[in-house]
Amino acid sequence: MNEKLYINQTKDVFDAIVVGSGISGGWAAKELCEKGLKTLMIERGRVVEHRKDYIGESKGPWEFPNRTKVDNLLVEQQYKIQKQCYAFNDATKHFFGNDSELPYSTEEGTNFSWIRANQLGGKSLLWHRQSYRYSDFDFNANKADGHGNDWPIRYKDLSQWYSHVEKHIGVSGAKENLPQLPDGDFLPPFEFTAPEQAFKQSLEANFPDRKLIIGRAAHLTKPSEFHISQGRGQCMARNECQKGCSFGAYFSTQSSTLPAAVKTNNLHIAPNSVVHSLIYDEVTNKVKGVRVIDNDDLSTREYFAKVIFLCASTLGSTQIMLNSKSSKFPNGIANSSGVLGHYLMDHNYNAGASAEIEGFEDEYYSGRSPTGIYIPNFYYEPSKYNKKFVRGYALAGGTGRTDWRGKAWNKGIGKDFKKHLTQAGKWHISLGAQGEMLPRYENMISLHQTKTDKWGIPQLHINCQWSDNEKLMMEDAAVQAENILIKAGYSNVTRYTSYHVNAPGLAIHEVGTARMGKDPADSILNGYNQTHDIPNLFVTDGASFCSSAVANPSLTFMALTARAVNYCVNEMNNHRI
Amino acid sequence: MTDFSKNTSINENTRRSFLKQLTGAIGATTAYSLLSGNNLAIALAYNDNKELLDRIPLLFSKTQLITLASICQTIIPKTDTLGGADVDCHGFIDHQLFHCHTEEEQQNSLAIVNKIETISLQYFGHSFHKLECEIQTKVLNYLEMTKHFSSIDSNHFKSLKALIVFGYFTSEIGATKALNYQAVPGGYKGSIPYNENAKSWGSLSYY
Ligand SMILES: Cc1cc2nc3c(=O)[nH]c(=O)nc-3n(C[C@H](O)[C@H](O)[C@H](O)COP(=O)(O)OP(=O)(O)OC[C@H]3O[C@@H](n4cnc5c(N)ncnc54)[C@H](O)[C@@H]3O)c2cc1C
Repeated sequence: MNEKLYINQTKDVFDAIVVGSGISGGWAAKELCEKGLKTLMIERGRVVEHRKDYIGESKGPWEFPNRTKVDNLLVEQQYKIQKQCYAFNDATKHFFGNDSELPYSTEEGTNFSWIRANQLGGKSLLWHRQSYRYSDFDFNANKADGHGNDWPIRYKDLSQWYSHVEKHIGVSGAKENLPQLPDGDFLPPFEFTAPEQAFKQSLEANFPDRKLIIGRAAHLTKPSEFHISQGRGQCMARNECQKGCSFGAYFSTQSSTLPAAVKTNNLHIAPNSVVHSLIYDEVTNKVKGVRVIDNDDLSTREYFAKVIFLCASTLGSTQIMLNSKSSKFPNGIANSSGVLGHYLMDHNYNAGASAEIEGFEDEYYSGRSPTGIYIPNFYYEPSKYNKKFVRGYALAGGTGRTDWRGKAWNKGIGKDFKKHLTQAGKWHISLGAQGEMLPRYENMISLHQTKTDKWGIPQLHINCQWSDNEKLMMEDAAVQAENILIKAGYSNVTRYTSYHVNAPGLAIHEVGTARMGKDPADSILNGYNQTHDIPNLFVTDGASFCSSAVANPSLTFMALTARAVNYCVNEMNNHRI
Repeated sequence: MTDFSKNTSINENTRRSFLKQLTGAIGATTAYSLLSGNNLAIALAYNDNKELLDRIPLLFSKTQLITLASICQTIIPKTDTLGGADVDCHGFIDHQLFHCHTEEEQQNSLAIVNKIETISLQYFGHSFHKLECEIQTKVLNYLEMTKHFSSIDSNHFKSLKALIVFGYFTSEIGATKALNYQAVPGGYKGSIPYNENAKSWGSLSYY
């Protein structure tokens, strides 16, 4: 460990504090440091060092006691909620939060699966790296159909910041010229399989409003000089990213933003520091610092800075704000509007279809693609909406040849069966819906009246449900996905919906609860992620979203963060902060 | 019939039996809290270097484990690569059911192993593991055809068989010798030629 980098007690007043070290916090710290600000990154969890702490990486399944599955008892005691995440297994479990230590409650009759990754790097270690720009159809949606408040920004405000981010992190993808899914500054795309190429042709011929593209993913398919100089290398196509990648081939805080911030010598990190609340000075109307409780020994300490960036994840940042009470802000800091905690959204990943593909027996693939195929939203503006619901969804999926995992259920005993198991089987295809969720006042988080966690911080109480709009959308998505596969001539097509089984949370795209807006009376942040009420307080993670849009949100967290830092530093230089 | 590698570790057996006993005595959850998560995982880490008869199984009796070993070897026999029992699928299954499966799945697996033994004795006059290979195959074929066996038996067998297949192809031999293993592929190609005699990939993303 770098002694100078990691600190515990200090009386220094930093130029900036960043709370959180995930995708958003990493970006805030890098940008602030590169602009010359002495920055303290505060992280509640332990230090995870690049390479050294990727303890599940590069192991065969036989090297795990339960062949990558997690022991029942351990799940029961520590991971009851986290286990619902598809990426949770014995090789990744140490990057997930311990549910027994991180309790929260849900309103009776509702549920929310809150997936956490409380460590240096946050969920950037675990994410699936799908990276898409939002378009003006997304930023305009609330205004166009009247759900939620209008985003105070448009694509032109963000496009240069998307480029800025993409060049740094490296996003693989192909230019497609689609109005609803702007192109970016891409590295070469991952390849399609042969059946995917055929599927693309059939889809685009049968449905002129639909396109099949390769999933855009934050992987270095062809690292630039800059990436290499950062110690990052080309993607090896192991698709075991969530264990950590010593090649630094996918974007994480550890591989990308942290080295950039460290290089400036302006960064300090306070790990194991759970932010309890913000210290607010009513006289100057500024936040002065944060109150911290030690993650391990529960002792308390404070850190001070001129500006504060909350990047503690959507629910984490809002929890801190709700818990920062003063006589001026009795219901949470910067909450004069009263909307803090409201308009919680996730994406709805609860419908899809799959099928078998005849032929292509002489085709195979080499390596494990870390991305998949993607059909961008085709209901992207009111005139294109389905009549039964508003907004839309994308369909994401993939193809592959059936292996022993599927064949294990077939009949057969002995030599021929063994041979059958070792051969590549039939091609199959699956498509899963990724639906937009409407911003609704009723979907909200608040602090529990009585329950606290082991740090004495009030627990979050979550009240969030799918509305009829989301359910109808999933019903349609299942039918459309099925229809697409039938039209492509595939066999054994089956469809499903699962919104009755899965509560919100599992798309792990939670956004909203401290939304932006033009009007301080019904929003927390302005168009630069600065709180309307307190000029030196910024919230740049998903909490700031006005709508969930359709595509994966994290690239937009990064772009918003970089833009907010740029604005903040300019304001500081001009003495307005 | 099968032969098994010889390698005993008294310590390991003692520890496993201690844990088994402790769990039996005070309940799994309490036993678990006594031993911190990690230590328990290490203590109970499955290890395939065990002499069959010296092993203290967690779920199956020693006799049942012998039957199970023969079932594993019958489903996945030795060919140019080792078979199911050769790579200790039975030991793995005993471990895996205990640690990662529900009580119902455990009971169903025990029941089907017992049933296979009963039918073997009843129709062929010998324990399953003493039967000729062809007869062993026949018994398991009957099971899949629900001849002499019920459809419930057949369903239980389906799950057990899937677990045997899982055990085999997640073993080192299964993943790297019976299949083609790419630890570090070096990049992704969407299209390469394939013929049906080639082995499929044993290196998979486990989600
Ligand atoms: C399996 C998985 C797959 C995903 N796939 C995708 C994808 O393909 N594309 C996409 O766009 N998104 C994806 N996501 C979502 C993505 O990971 C998150 O949107 C993103 O990481 C959020 O970044 P963040 O920095 O705001 O929050 P986080 O990454 O969660 O980081 C927040 C940090 O703040 C810290 N913190 C919280 N509270 C406090 C406190 N009180 N005091 C101090 N520190 C605190 C936490 O410990 C954490 O380190 C996926 C997520 C998961 C888990």
